[in-house]
Amino acid sequence: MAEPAGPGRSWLPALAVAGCIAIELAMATAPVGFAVRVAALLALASTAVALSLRQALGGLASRALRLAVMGPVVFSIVLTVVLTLDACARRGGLLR
Amino acid sequence: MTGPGGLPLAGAAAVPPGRIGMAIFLGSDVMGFSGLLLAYALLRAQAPAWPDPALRFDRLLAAVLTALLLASSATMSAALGAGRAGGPAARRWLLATAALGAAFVVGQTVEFGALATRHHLGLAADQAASIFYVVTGFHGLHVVVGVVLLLAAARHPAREPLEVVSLYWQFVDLIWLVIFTVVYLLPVGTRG
Repeated sequence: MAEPAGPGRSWLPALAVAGCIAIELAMATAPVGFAVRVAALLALASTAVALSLRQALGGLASRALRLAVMGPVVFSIVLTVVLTLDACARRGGLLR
Repeated sequence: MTGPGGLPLAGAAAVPPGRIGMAIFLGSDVMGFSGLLLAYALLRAQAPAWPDPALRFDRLLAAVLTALLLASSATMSAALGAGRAGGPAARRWLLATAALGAAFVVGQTVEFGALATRHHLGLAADQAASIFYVVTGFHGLHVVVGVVLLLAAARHPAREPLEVVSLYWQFVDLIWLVIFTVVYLLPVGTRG
């Protein structure tokens, strides 16, 4: 697997993630509806996490190892989302 | 590296054992954080009322803490790049990363202190406070361990320890992004 580039390019992923977080902060205070705000925050956070994950897993140098980390990550995300939605549905509303 | 009968294992020699160990650790650690975040989500979904994060927390301080971790992610990448190139700058970047991590821990301690003393929100104040301290405290503990690992790696910045510490640090940063969004930013709905 190709190693990531040297220090010069190493700032780019962090800058992209910082951009996502900056937009998140703006969205958190923007005068928009509740559902729009929640959707935007979750979408931006997912993008930031995906960018960070890509950068973090770049050092593993093996596809099998990357999958070994991604397996629990995906499993955890799916389980958390499903159980949270279930709990919200039982309470009678999707978002709170 | 060889398998049964002394036959070489395809691709096995390409991955150093430190990275395999860290990958296994991170896989289990992700599930630990996931359990805590699930507990947060379930408590929040089932509670009769939940405090508005905008009113309870100092979002500016949390944003500064996030910026510190993002900057540390960049300096960690720079340390890794310098380490791979065999340059002497790796130690400098590692120390910068450790300093940013230490600043994060100091900031979090200040936040906890302000919540507990100024706002009288101790660990047992309510469900929201309890789960907040547990989730952010568990992450803070990871940052403390990371700072120790970074300082240890900075003493003799060899490539392999650098790769392993980098993997750990990037994950600690990544998990904070989720905590920051879910705990500090996600608004409270009008229902309930």
